[in-house]
Amino acid sequence: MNVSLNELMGALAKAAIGAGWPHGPARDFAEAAACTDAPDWAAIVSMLERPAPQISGGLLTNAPAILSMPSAVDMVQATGQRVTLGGDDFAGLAAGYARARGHIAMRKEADGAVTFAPGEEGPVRPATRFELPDDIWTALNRLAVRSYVASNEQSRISGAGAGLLDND
Amino acid sequence: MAEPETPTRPAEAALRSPDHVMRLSRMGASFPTRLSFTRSLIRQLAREGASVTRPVWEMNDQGYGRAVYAVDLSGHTYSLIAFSNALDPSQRTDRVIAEAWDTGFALFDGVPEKDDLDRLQQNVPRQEAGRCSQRELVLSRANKSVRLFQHVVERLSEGRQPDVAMVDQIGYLMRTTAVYGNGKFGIADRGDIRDRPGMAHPFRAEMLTVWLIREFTHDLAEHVARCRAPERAVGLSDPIKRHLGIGNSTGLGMAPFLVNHPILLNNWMLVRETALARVLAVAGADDATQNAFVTLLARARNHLEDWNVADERQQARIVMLRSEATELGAVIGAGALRNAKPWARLMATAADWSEEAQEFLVALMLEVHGDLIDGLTDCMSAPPVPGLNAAMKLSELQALLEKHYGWALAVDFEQEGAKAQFWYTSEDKAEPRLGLRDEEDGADKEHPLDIARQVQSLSRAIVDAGPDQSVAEFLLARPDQRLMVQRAQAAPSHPYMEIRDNLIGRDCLPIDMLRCKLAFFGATRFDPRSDRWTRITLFQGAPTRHDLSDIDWSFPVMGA
Repeated sequence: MNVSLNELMGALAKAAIGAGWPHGPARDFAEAAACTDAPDWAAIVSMLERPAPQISGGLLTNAPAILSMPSAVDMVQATGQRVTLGGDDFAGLAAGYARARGHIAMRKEADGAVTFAPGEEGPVRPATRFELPDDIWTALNRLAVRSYVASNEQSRISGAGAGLLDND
Repeated sequence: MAEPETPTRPAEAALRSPDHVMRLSRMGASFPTRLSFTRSLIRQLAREGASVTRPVWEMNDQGYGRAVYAVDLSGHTYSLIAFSNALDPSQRTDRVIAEAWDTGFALFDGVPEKDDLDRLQQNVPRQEAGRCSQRELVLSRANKSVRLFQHVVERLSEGRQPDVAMVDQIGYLMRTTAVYGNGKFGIADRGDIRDRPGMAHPFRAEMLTVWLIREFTHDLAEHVARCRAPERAVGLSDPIKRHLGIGNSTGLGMAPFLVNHPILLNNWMLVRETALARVLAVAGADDATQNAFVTLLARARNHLEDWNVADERQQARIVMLRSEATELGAVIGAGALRNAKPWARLMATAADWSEEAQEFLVALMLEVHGDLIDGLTDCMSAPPVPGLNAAMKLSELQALLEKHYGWALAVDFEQEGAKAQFWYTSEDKAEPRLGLRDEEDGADKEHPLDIARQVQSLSRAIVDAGPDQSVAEFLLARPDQRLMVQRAQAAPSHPYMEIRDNLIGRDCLPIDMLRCKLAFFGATRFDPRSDRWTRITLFQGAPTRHDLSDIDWSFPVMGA
């Protein structure tokens, strides 16, 4: 399926929100995915489907990539120091986070870890068109629907503040 | 040798404060101005001497079929592709939940071949259920104003012009119920065209589409009339054509747009306020400007007389505005424009008038100063959203909140009704809706339009974390605050980016946000159908393709 950038980012962000992630990381995730070269879409979607941790203060440990990667990029930007993340093998997406933020370089280590470090290149403007497998599109929409509210007769009539027929 | 002349920036008075401008009640009193997107489009088309052709017109006698209109704009050809279908009245709704429409449209990049038309004929009439390509820039649909369309066809087929009062009362033959741009349903992303000459302005492709749809509606009514009575039928007169704009039905989707595009909102507002500041700094009004203002005010007062709506709140405001416009006329008649700094004095005079009257006056004053302000429309699009500053200390972030979000920190969310509403997306075709928190399910899926509440939450979290942490350290522990942190960091350089009211309070009226956005589009005849739904008219009074010129068509009046 051939989709536009806006469509892709909207679907990714909604899917992330539907999967239970906060809005801010969800938007960063969408931007990073759009900035990823040759994305592994199945891996990206599977990342969303992991249970989101409870966020109630205190440092996150073993944070999933959708939370740890933007924070790693933040730390490099704030301190100028390298940050290495082990665990999940999401190097492609990690590169997307680095490219979307700009002035951050990303290197994949031999053990599968990724290292973020200060870099030269500014933020990358993503492509405006993407080929997405149909099943990925379906999976994203399936997750996105979880962020929608079930409709009923009352909300159908009052929620939008408009009537149901306009034959005048 | 003389130094090259440096362009001088016009003098500017102080900008109106965001605390004054960015309140819902004032935004809900917005009027279209010459900075509005419909106006800047027509100016550009006229400046370029654009001509519109109609290379395809394949319509049956009932007016069902397809058509193509092509226009050159700044070196590129764009084509409106129109499909007209029979529609069962039981399906005619302006809501997003509709599944069929009288007409469907696409703005095509270039001139379509037959294969393109055939492909789009399978998809455009289905709208969201179809699929478009990167060659399409806009996807839209419109339903007939059944009463007026039938009346116009009947009259034209009898060799007569339609009833002027009816034309004036309704104002359009069709109303659009969605105008999708920026990549929706497979069409081209805005990034594909934003760097093109003529396409940098916000919603430029969408406004071009709507203007061409208006042409189509005129042609369609004339076509059906001619088919009905080939010997007797006449075409629409030029004044009636001009007065027939294109309607639009708009709901809640517009409100989240303003909150979710804060930089864009800032730039629109900043341009309008800068334009006003330039006008307020003008030392004196020459005779030509004075005369233009007097003529415009007279027309605008007539426009107000013709503007009547069923909504009681808005009708009361219109009645008040008429009275204040009369007062304005008296002030002008007493020689106010012959004073030094006449526009600043007029604004001072209006300080006690309603917000509706003040914003009406702003629109009038801007209208007669095109040379001074029109160039500002080049600054209304938005660059990429500024990135996060992860190195910022929380002490600095807290100070920033206190300086720029005092209005938000002052909201008392413990008060009854302060959290009464929540914004959400319905599973019903993803229609944006507003719910009552204490009465309806779904608040757990609320959209983050509660900016004031988020600011307070962030402020409390900063206190808990301590002032010495960096934003990076803070967000490691509080990823739920990332959205608001990034937003707040943009505030110092974007003073008009926030609507300075509690958007989930019981008193929040989404219609105020709708009117503000629609005014920037250029909408007239604001006609609320509830506190979250409105009809408006676009391009009423605007030149048609047959008489394209750079004229003042603000505050349109039938026959003027």
